Amino acid sequence: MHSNGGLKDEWERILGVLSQIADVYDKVNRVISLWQDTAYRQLGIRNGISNGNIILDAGCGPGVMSELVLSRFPENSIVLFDPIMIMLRAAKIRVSKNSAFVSGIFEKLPFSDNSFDAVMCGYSIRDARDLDVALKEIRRVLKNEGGRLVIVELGKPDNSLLRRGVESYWRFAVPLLAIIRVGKRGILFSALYRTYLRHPTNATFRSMLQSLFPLVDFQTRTLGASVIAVAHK
Amino acid sequence: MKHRLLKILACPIDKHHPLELKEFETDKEEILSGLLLCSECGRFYPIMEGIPSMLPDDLRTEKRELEFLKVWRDKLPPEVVDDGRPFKLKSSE
Repeated sequence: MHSNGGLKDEWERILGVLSQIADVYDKVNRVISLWQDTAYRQLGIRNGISNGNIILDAGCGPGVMSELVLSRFPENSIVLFDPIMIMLRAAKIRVSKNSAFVSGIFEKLPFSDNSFDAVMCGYSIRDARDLDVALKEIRRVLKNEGGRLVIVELGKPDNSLLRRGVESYWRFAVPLLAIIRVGKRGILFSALYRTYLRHPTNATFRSMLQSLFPLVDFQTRTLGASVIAVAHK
Repeated sequence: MKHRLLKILACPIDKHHPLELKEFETDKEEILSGLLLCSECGRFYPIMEGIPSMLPDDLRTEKRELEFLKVWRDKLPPEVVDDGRPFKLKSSE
């Protein structure tokens, strides 16, 4: 399936699944990213976040990305943002200093124009309902001077053979790894295969970003199965 | 949430800013329960457990929000009771 991203009609179902696996999501994400998620998040932070920034952690989940930012830049202020209340509660326990918490969705950001030095999306933007609308909203709330969008996300290789390989990994290996890591509930992770199918290929995603932002640094890792991008407003 | 968040919060629907804050329950600087009001479209957004809930109408849960409004009935501005958007407390009573 090729698409311009966004879960569209599947969004509410996927979000329901995410709510059910909120407490183990982080643990499983570590395993299925082959222990690379922290390294990629750190790379995104190094490329796009500076000291003293006001940041929106969009799709914060249990707050993993914000925790990494605050351990590097303790003076930054972060708004942790997610539609799922259980995730925000978990994030509130993990991150307490210099932080605020707001519930809402990417496509209807409840913030004024020109508010943030950086918006970061750590493994979250593929869960948007409509990727194009989400990116436009993010651009709106970024500061005109120096505003940056930092994305760390699964990648979908442009090479069809590699793509099929990565798709098989998501379809068959991920649910299995999840079951091994957290037991029966791991089967729910098979829903993540749908989010992967809906996600655009790396080339499409890059051109979506380039059509909205004048300067885009788009890097891939693990044969294109991971993306670390910084888009400048 | 803290007061300084008001500097950047806007209505998710029409982007009106600033929003009006009604505080129901506070702990030092932290607002634990309250409402954010958009004077442009008339929507209210509840602050529950210190977290402003700013979802679009189709993702809001009527039952849960009306229960929240009932708890703070005495502190609600009359326009929210009579004519709140997206849910009216009056018509549910």
